[in-house]
Order: sequence, then C-alpha cells, then structure tokens
Amino acid sequence: MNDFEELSKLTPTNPGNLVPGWEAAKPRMLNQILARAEKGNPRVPWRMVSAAAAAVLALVATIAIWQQLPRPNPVAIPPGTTSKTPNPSDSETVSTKGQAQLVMAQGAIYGDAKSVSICFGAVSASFPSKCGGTLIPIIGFTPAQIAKKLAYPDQAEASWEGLGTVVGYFETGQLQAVRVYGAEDPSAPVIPGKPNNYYDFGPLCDTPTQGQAAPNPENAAPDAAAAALTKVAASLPGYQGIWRSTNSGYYNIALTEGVAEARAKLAKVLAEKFCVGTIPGPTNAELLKAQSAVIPALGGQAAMVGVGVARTGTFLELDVLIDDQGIRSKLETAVGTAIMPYTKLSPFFHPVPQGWVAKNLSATNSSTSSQSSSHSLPSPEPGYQSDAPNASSSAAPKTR
Amino acid sequence: MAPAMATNGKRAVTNWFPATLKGVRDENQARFTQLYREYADRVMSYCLRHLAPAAAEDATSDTFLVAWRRFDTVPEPALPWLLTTAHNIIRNRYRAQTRDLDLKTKLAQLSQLAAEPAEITAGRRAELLAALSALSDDERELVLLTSWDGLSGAEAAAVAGISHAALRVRLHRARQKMSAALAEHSLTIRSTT
Repeated sequence: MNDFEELSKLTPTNPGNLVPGWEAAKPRMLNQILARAEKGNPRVPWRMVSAAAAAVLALVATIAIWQQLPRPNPVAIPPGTTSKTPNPSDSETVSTKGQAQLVMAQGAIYGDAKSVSICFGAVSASFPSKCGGTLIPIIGFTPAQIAKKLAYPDQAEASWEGLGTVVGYFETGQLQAVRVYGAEDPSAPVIPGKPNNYYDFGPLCDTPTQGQAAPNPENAAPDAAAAALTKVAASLPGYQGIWRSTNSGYYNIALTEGVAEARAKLAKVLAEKFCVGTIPGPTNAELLKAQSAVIPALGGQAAMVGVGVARTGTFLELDVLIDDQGIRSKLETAVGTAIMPYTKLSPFFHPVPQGWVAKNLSATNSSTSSQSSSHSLPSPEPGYQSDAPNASSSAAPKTR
Repeated sequence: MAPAMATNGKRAVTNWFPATLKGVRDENQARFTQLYREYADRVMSYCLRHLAPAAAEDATSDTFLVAWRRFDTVPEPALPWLLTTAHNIIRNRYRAQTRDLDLKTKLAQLSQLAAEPAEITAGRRAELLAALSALSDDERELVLLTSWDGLSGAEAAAVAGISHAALRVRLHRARQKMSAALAEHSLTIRSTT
C-alpha cells in the first residue's frame, strides 16, 4: 500500500468527530433547507433561522402554491371554525363509548409560554407560518417540555413553531399527550404515509395521437401551453381531468364520453402527442359539486379538500381528523353513494399500533402528569419530568 | 371552474390540483431527503477542510439549499456536483472565514476529521496527516479531492475549477512533495531513535 492508498484509508466518515452535535443538527438543517427554499429566503445562516421555518416542512410545500392558484370552491376550514377550543362535538368520531382513543399525529406544532397546539389543516407559507385549519390544544406537558422535545430549547421564543409527532388521547377537542417527538426522532411511532404509487400518472393509451396544430408561440411556455390545453379540454362533454404522464410526457385527457370526437378536436389545438380515454369515476364537474358539499357537512372534522385525477380514476380527496365510520357516514350523506367509492380519506389522527404501545407505554396510571385525565394514562416518557416545572423558566420565551 | 392538471415529478404543477401537487412534492422531497442523508456528511467534511465548524455548517446548508432549488439538474452521482457547489459557495461567500482559519487550525481539524482505520497505526496516521502540511492549500485540496472524496481526475478538476491537464501536473507535483515530506519525516524519526 503506497502513501496515497494509505491516505485514502483516512477518509473522514463522521464529521461528528469534529463537530459534536452534528448528528442532531442534520435533521434540523434539512428542515430549514426545505423551509428556506419554499420561502425564497435569501441567505440566512441556517442556525439563525427561526424554528418557525422547520415547523411547516411538507405542509408549506403544498400551501405555498395553493394560495397562488385559482380555487373553484373554498377548500379549507372556514375561519370561524378555527379555534383553540374546538367544539366538543367535533371530536365525537374519535371517541368510542365515551372512552378516548389513543392516537398519533404528526404536524406543525405552535406554542407559547402558556399553551401548545398542533395544527390540523393547511399551514400558510407566511413567516412565521400560521395554521389555517384547526388548532388542537396539546395538554399533559408544559410548553417548555414540548419545545425542548422539538429540539428548540436554545431558541425558545415568545411563540414558536416546530414539527413533531404526538401520541395521546384525543378527547373533547384536546389532545392529552403521553409522548411528544421531534420530527426526525427515530423513536417516534411511524405515521402511515401514502405509498409511492398512490397516484398513477402513467399514459392513458399505448399509442398516442399526434396533434396537428402548428406550434403556437404564445403557448411556448409550459404553463401557458397547459393552461390553454386545459381550457379546451374542460369544455369537452364528460371531462374528467388531464395530466401529463410521468415518463412519456404525453398529455392525457380523460372523459366519460365522446372520446373519438374529443380526440379530433384536441388534435386541432395540440401540436404534440396526446392520449384521450376514459377512466373510472365521475366527471370533474360532479366531483367539484361534491366537494362543495363536504365542508359544510363535516365542519372542523375535514380540511384540505380537493379533487384529482390519475390513470386509476378520478377522486375526491380530503383530510379528516380521524377515519372512522362516523365521518364516513356523514361524508356519504354529503356527497352521495355514487361519489363515495371515489373518495380518498387521509386521517390526521391514526390509531397507535398495539405493538408500539406494548413496547413504549406502561399500563399504569400517571401520577405525574401535569393535568388530570379521566382515563388511564401511561406515564410521560423519562426525561420530561426532569425539565418540569423549573425548566420552563430556563427555556422560557425571550424574544420573538 | 378550474380544471385540474397533473404533471410529472420534475416539473412544476401548472394548475389547481392539490392532490397531485401533494404527491409530486412528497416525491421530490423524499428524493431530496435521500440525497441529503447520503451526502450531508461528505459535504460537511469537505466544508470542514476549509472552514471552522460553525461556518462549515452554514456552507453545508447553503450547498444543499442550492441542490434543492436546482434539484432537477443535480446529476448522478451527485457528489462531484455537490462538492463543486460547496467549493463555489465557500469561495464566494465564506472567503473571509477561510482566511480566518490558519494552517495549524486546518491541520488540527483534518486530524480530528480523519478516520482511524485499524490497518493504519496511530504513528503512520500522524505522519500522513503531517505530510499534508507540506502542501499548499491548492495542492492539498487536489490530493484530498482524489484520495478522500474519491473523485476522478476530471471530477476533481471541475470542483477545483482548473483544466484536467493542469490538475494532472499539480497533482503529480503535490504527490512528489508529500512523498518527500513523508520520507524526510521517517528519516527524522529514524535518526532520533
């Protein structure tokens, strides 16, 4: 082995040798990067960026663009329903026979010296961000304890934001927390996500149709071309939706009727290849009508309603507090039985896996919880008690 | 009534389509997170060769911010692109901080950063690291880009912003100097024992 082969054996593998705390800093840095990118934030040393930036993460990614796009109908919870003390009736679907259910949720968490809440619904891209949905109070731990768990103890401010996972009992509009984890804490229970193939944006046909139109200079920009195409496509009878294939790049126009006629009409306005076909599900107009009925029917139990289309079919998608029979019954009444099979629900609160409960939570009643509970409550996790209550002053808010 | 438009994972969504938008954003974010997890240590280690820890963290963050904003253009493998970006960021934004880091401190950081493989004795490790002090900053950069970062000649030249021919010449000279320093060092050790 020569000198340089030996030198290559010394290749650093762990910056933590030189920078203690690097491993803990990495996930926070990632959050800051994603948040800074969304905000178009110019150069700010990442360690100096407020904790607010990390709080919104994936949610901001959606909402930042949402706010700039035309909406046919209100899609978020009306402002009047946004409250730190949600109506108890909103929570009825997550209780069973009066017993609170152990649930877990991940989201933007907002706190100040007195209280902490987790946001169900849209998070605005403003800085600091705001919860555009319902703020669900988190009780059971002091704000300082939760701030520390979200890894912002040194930047405690008058009000702060973070991204985290909470395990607890949802009851009467409050979340009685038994565990709180930072966004990248590996010990947190895994919140089920959507599979990679949740949306299939493959081509709608094997042999696309070649458009016959001359290229339009006004549509040279992809956005302009897409807008022009969707305007034409949306006027077709039975219009279901339009998407651009992930791999082929073809436009795909889905209709419930008149495929041949639509193909001929679109060929005159498109210069590139495209597919026209039929997919399962109702028309775009029918979905939008159903969407407009959802929010009044579900109120604070639903947020972020939208309609969509993919090769597998059209769908109405909404986020709900919890996916249970109660909310499905309300939903079916609101949208009708014909639309119901094409409705996708994404719950905010998920049941906690029994295996995780057995491994992580003791069955004893808590005698140390800072707030009483009517049900059996596992002890807060070790480490929290050492922070309370004096820790709240050390991690107390200083400035905004 | 606004129609919905979906798009592929590498292009911006052009119309109102929240469900699709979420899917695209989630996919991109997952891919970027994977990239970050794979290379954050490598980029941070590179920045620590030029900057003090605090500034190195900022430079690493800036590098990945650029990568996220230009995610569609990041090639595979991504490391040479990331190190080139880090190099440019350090040169353009952290020039003052690089001047603040004297040679002694740089070498101390290198020593702390360097791995401690079982097959290299502590004494030999110290010799190798000490030999790096015989090199100029530019020469040390080239040696470490090729030996530590595993870049090819062309990739290392791109990171350093020089031609491949120039790299070959400078790298050859650097290796000669390092070998001479190692030989001298071992001679010194032999003569004192």
